[in-house]
Amino acid sequence: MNFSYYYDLEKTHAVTHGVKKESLVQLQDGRVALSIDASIEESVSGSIIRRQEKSKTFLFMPDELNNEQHDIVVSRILIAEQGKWVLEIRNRQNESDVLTIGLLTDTIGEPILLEVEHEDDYRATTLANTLSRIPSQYNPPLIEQTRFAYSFDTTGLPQEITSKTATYDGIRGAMRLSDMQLSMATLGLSGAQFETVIQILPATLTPIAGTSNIFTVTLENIGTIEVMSDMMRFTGIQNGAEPVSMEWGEVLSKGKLESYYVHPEANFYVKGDGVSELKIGWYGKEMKATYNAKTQRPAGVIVESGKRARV
Amino acid sequence: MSIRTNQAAYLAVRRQSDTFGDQFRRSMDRHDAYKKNAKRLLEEVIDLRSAIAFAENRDAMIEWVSTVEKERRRNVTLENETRSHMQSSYGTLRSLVYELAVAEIEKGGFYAHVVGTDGTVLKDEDRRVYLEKKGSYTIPFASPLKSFNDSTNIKIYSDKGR
Repeated sequence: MNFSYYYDLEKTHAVTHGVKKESLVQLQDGRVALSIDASIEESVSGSIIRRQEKSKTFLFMPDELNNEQHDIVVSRILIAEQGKWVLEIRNRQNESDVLTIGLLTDTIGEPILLEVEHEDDYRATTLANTLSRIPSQYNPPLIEQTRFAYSFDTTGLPQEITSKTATYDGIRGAMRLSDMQLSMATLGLSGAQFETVIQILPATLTPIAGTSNIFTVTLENIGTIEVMSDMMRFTGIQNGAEPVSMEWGEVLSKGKLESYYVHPEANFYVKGDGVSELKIGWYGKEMKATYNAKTQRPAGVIVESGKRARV
Repeated sequence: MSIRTNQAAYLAVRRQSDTFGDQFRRSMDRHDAYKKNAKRLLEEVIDLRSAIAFAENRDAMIEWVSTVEKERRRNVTLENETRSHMQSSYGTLRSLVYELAVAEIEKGGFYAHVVGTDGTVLKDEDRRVYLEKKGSYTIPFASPLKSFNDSTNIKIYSDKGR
């Protein structure tokens, strides 16, 4: 069952809340387990620009009168000032049995049409469909939104990533490449925290010809990080910003790189706090820099290295 | 005098909005149909044009293409006409729905989405809407609340014995 809120009469721009029955089984003890796939997605002219999804199993006690019907309440909540849509699905038998997902958007404007659609192959009835105020005690959830995630489990690249040099390394489940560009359909949200994590292992510590960089990572709208054999340097795109650097204090060791590679917390990362502080980490070390979260909205990522690095 | 406090005025707005809701839905359906037709005919024209070069009787084919093209243009004109009709009927409807929503939220705490629903759904006297079988419907959404909670009760049935 879908609930779509359209921002135009031609129905080209929508935020759609999806509720789908995945399975419904009776357990040994008589209770009924109802699995639901929930999603919120924003689409423009047929392409999805943002999407979040989550599944949950709701448990229903057997009902003496009629245990064949299971009531859920599906609430679509818009917190306009935060650009936050929340989809909440509640078990009517047990108010604490609840699934919540959210979608952050920078779409301004009000929805003008609502479409309710039930085309799936299961029996369901919608009752009352009502619009009301958000209860004053309502505490909107903090939303984590994945803008892009990919693990190279199979050969081939997703359409967001382009590379002229990539070859697949099936043993590591990684791509060997010396250039990579990740493009995003949308910018990150102004003033929101962000986190970019990439698993990088240089195939060689020899710098890119003509520079002293082993590899560089550019976060569009944020800045460039150069990784060298003795230090790491960040140059922000802000006017007049001084580069920030940090020395490793030791000679990079291949053994350590290997062990950091498999530990996500020591992978290459850039974290923005949603205000002004950036944390940049690699090789188990971290440095701090500044940015302006109001104006510098993260976009794509570019990685370059001399010889092929594993990403 | 506000329609919140005057029952007769409230009922009058409700009747009006039901009438305009039907009108809007019909204009939306019509617009949709012409839009789809125009798109389908455009594809047909493109296909036929590429077939002309290989046709045994090219003149007949060219004439047929121009007939389809005429039909396509007629549909585009109708698509545009129905679009403006849909937009103007939506404008009126939105202000009525907005009035209703303000009044109902203040009186009972919620506004029931009824206006503009079609034969797909069942309605009861309390203006509650039921969607019991497969189908879909599109209705105007005019929330007086910038932030809101839009909520639906759904019954999901076990399939046993069926």
